Parts: sequence; C-alpha cells; structure tokens
Amino acid sequence: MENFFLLVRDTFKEHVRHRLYLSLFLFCFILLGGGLVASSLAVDERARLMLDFGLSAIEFLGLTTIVFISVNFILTEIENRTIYLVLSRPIPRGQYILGRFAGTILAVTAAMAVMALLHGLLLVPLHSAATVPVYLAAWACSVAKLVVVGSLALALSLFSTSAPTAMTFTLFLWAMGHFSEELRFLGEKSANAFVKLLVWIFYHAAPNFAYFNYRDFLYANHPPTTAWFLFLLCYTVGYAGVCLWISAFLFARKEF
Amino acid sequence: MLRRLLVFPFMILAGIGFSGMHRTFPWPYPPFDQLITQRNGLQDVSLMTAGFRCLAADLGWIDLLQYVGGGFLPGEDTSRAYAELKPMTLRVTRIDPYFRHAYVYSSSMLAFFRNINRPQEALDVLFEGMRNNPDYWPLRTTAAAIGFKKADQFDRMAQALELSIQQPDCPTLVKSILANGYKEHGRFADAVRVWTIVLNNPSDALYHGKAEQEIKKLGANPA
Amino acid sequence: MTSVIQLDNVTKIYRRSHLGRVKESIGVANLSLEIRAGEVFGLLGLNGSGKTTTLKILLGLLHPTQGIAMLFGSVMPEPQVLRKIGYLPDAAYLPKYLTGDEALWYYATLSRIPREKRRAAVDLILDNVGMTAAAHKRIGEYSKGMFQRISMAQALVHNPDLLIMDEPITGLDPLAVREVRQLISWLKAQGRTVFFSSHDISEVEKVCDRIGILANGRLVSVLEQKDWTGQEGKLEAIFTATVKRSEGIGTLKFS
Repeated sequence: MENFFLLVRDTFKEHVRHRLYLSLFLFCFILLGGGLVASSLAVDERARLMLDFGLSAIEFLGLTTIVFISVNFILTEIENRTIYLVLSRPIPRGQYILGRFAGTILAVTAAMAVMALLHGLLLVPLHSAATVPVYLAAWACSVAKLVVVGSLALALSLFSTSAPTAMTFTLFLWAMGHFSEELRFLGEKSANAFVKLLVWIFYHAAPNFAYFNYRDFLYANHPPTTAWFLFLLCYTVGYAGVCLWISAFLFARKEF
Repeated sequence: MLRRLLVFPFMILAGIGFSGMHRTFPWPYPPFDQLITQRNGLQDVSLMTAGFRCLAADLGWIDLLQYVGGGFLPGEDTSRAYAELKPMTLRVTRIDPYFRHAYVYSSSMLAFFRNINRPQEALDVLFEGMRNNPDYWPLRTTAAAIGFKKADQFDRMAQALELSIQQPDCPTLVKSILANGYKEHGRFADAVRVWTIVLNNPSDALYHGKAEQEIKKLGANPA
Repeated sequence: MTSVIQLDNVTKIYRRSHLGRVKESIGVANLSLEIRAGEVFGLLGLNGSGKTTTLKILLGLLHPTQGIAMLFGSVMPEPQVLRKIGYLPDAAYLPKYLTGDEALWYYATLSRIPREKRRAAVDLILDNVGMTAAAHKRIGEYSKGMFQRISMAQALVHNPDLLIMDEPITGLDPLAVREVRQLISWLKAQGRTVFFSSHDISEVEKVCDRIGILANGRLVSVLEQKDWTGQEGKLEAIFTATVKRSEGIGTLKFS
C-alpha cells in the first residue's frame, strides 16, 4: 500500500508542477468572467445562468484536462523511458497503473475544487445558503463523470497506443454518452431488429454520461433522491473499475 | 486467476448502478425530435451532446431576451409583432422543460402586451408548461389571468396575477404588466403598491429606475 | 555457487504490423546462459545484436517468445525478485520534475527499503555519488554528469545483489569511464553480481570474469578470463572474427 500512496503523491506532484496546470486556472478565470458578463444579459435569471455557466465551465475544463492527461501520461512515460526505472522495481504493474490514475484524478479534482471555490465567491451575492448542498452534489457528480471518462481514456490509450486516436475515441464516447437516451429513443422507433440490437448493446455498454448531469436535474419537478446518488456511485465505481481492470490487463502485457 | 475474475464484480456493480439510476429517476426530458431546431439547431444540439443541456437553454433564453429587446430575426413574419416569440420560447422549454420562468415571462408578453395580444399562443405555451410542471401553480394563475383578460374581466385577472407576483421567482415583467393594468383602469393606489414591491425587491433591480419613475408619475413618494 | 541469472533457450521475435503486413525480426534466438553469484559478466556485441533485448527480458520489460528467463530462481517477470536488482539503463531516464533527493526517496520506497532505513540509505548513496550538494535541485536543471550520478545512485540505493547495466560507459569521458570501472570493482569486492552489456572491448576485458559475444541475436561464444588475460588484442581478434555486420552496409575500404 505504501507504494500505491507514493505513486499517487508523486503523480499529483508531477501534474501540479506542470506549467499547464496553472493555465487551467487562467482559463477558469476567463470563463467565469465571461459567465459574469453573459449572466447580466439574462435579466431575471442571472442567478441560474451564473450557476449553470460556472458548473459547466468547471466540468468542461476538468474533463478536457483528464482526457488529455489520461491519454498521454503512460504514453509519455513510455516515450521518454522513465517507466524503465519504475517497472524494474518490485512494483506490480496493476498497482502502478492504479496509483498513477488515482494521482491524476486527485490533481484534477483539486483543480476543480479551487475553481468551484472561485465560482462560489461569485455566486454568494446571487444565491442563498440553501444552494450549497445542491452545488456540492452537482460538483461531485461532475467529478464522478471525470473518473469514468479518465478511466475510459486510459484504457483506450493502452489499447490503441496512439494518443490522437485514443483522444478521438474518448471524445466520441463522451458525446455519445450524453446522447444515449436519444439513441435509445431512436432504437425503440426503429423497425429493424439489427438496429434495435445494436442500439441496445451500445446503450448498455457505453457510459451513460447523461445521468451524471445533476446540475441539469436539479430544476426537474422531482429531483433525484439519495438512493439515486448511491446508484450513481455504484455505476461510477463499477464502470471505472471495469475500465481500470482492462487498463491493468493491457499494461501487464505491454512490452517496453 | 483471481485477478482475472475481478472484472465481474465491477460489471455487476455497474449493472446495479445503471438499472438503479433509471428506476429511481426516469429520464426527465422529452425526446430530441421535439426540439425546435430551425434556428440555432447546431448550437443547441452541440451543447446538449457535450452534456450542457441547461446551459443550452440559458443561451436560448438570452437569445429570446435579445429578441424581445428589439432584435429581428432573418425571415421573420413582420406583419405580426414578435412573431417568433412563441417558437423561441418553445426552443428554450423543449431543451429544458423545467425552465418555468420562460413559460410565465413569454406567455405574459404574448397575452398582455397590447401590440402583441395573442392570448391563444400564450395559452399554448402555458399548457405545455403545465404538462411539464404540474406542481408549479403560477402557471395556472397566469392562465386564469389570461382567460379573464379574454373575457374582459380585469378585476379577476388582477386577482389571479396578484397570486403570481407573491412568488419570489415571479418575472418582473408580470409585475409591470399588473401595475400598468391597474394604472389603465384607474386603480392608482394598487399600481403604486405593485411598483413599490418592485422597488423593494433586490431581484427586480433592473426595473428599480422605472418603478421610481412610475411612482412619481402616479403622484406618490417613491421612498 | 548458485545461479543468479539463468536464460534457458530464450528467443525473442519482434513482430511489427503495418497496413496489414507483418514484419518479423529476431531480437535474440535460442539464448542459453547462466551467471553465477559474485560474477562480473560482460555481454559484447555490435549494435542490434540483442544485448538490450537480453537485459530487458531479464527485467521483465520484454516477454520472451520462447524459453524461460530466471533471476534468483524465479521465472521472470516476477516483481518481488526485482528488489534484489539494480538497473542502470543506457541513458538517465529520470523524472525532471523531482529533485535529486525526491527521486532517490521515490525509488528507495519503490524498492521496498523500510521507512526507518530509507533516509540513511538515500543520504549515504547521495554522498557516495558526490551529489549531496545538488540533491535539492530539480533534475531538470542537472548537467549530463549529474544525471549520470543520480542514475547510478538510483540503481544502488537499495544495495542490490545484482546490478544490470546497459552500456554503462557509452558516451562517457575517460574520467567517468574510470569511475564506472571502480564501481564494478567495488561491487565485485562486495560479492555482488554484475551483468552488463557493452561494445567497448578494452573496458570489458579489464573488469569481467567472463564475456559473452552476441551476434545477430545468438550467443556465439562465452569466454573465460584465461582466454584473453595477458594476450593484448586477443579479445578484439576473437570478437572481429566472430561477428559480422548485419545492418546491410559493406566494410570500409581504407586499409
């Protein structure tokens, strides 16, 4: 376990010391500033727009960062061969992959937490304290989405060994994952049995990202209950677990 | 061997989570074939595909406000004032059917603005709102107010709108419609009362200047 | 004497597929070799002869197509046995965002040095490689010489029983070459086993107990010290007689 936490800590340090990490906050600043300007156009619904814009910006930045990092970190280590000095040590490959992944998630989550704090300061004049638990729940669901996307990106990077291909497929699945309910609707409407089957398989196998968007559901007539959050947690752990198992399996067979 | 089997508990967990999520919270949005995509379809679908549904609705809302503020859309039917108001409202509410403010705002404009005066379109918007938000009663009171307006029963219309303006999320537009209605029907004290509500409400800050003006015009002291 | 390294009929075939066409090339073929504890063994060969492939198979970085590679009696890859091994690659593949001290602490932890002994081990190795003063600078700011010292330090911080080195003297200045030679001699005096690859005949013959010659992935001969000691140029003559270039280039005609 000590090696696992060492890898988490070292990976966190690696990302946080990277110049690009600081640029995340710059982009966040710019987007939140843009949200402040745009929300003034919303007249009576300024509070809603500030909330939606900020949460969306934080999620967008978090997810683009996790896709980029997850696809590249192993491939970069292989390219610059720093991986030799780690794998020539008594550390199981599965532990290595999990440790590096956990460190990456931690680094991006920490960045999202700082961004949420900045966003929260802008929301104080517009929202009451009752918004806080709702905001935190929406933020946590974004982090859960980030865990699933990151694990998927890692698995695809080890499968394809090409960073652009892995990023393209991850972004494709990201988009299709948000479109899965609409795909299900199309499948139900189709008269073709093969199309129905294909859509059914895709609907169940591809990650259903649409269900992570609690920030959209909070306006619904009957927002999700506590039980729903528990199921979402199960889904996140289960799906990410499968992707990480695939990553560990592929990495164990990798040659350097 | 044990490590190879480890994938199955994760798959089962994911399956439990997946079915549990759907059972405890059925998908709350209408199918995408109901989206109004003649204008800005690419923007809306792109944002929804990236997972930013409410943001898409918010940007649609800004487009609507820009339009109401004096913009014109290419190809618009200029024989009718704000001909695109209903489709633009439905564009927003088909993306986010729980954008309750949009239903009340647009239906109030459609029904109560003299240069628009299209109560049937207003009711269409409200009925869609009521279908999607059956527990949100301000939609019903607005519909009632429109009905009374059609029957030329201002007093009962005003009673219905009074219930709406008590809501913290009531659009300022509705308050100004009621206040102007009171003024037109000689009920100046009621008009001043409603404008005072606007003046004292921080959420109506954009209308504070107008409220002060109207109160002065009606011969009262804004303070 | 016990075997530290045992290669039993190891073959490695590289398969590269491109647009549906598969190209195969032999890394090593039918390689059988045994290295005893306390021995210094040098693997000589031209570029592309299979030296690095052999080392990587031993470390578990490559999987043999056929045959078995064993270290300390365990079939590789076996992560646990790697705690007895130090690896010095051909270049310093170190994480540039860490300081020298942080990097050694990192590798010491990964090598399972107990926490209570770790600080002392890191400080000692930093002192031994002469890097104590520069330990708190980021590796990205190091000179080439400092890179090599830290690289050496990471291979030795956990006192390995076996040191595997991939071309340790390639690209080094004469002073650094002497330091590597001193290191190997010191390790031998400590009873450690050293297995390294090189194409520098003059250095190999100075330190090794035995030498293996690789040509086109095959171990064509294994020489004992008595085969070249006291006979200047003998090892070079054996080597040049044994190996032939397979890169598709002809011999130089300036003789």
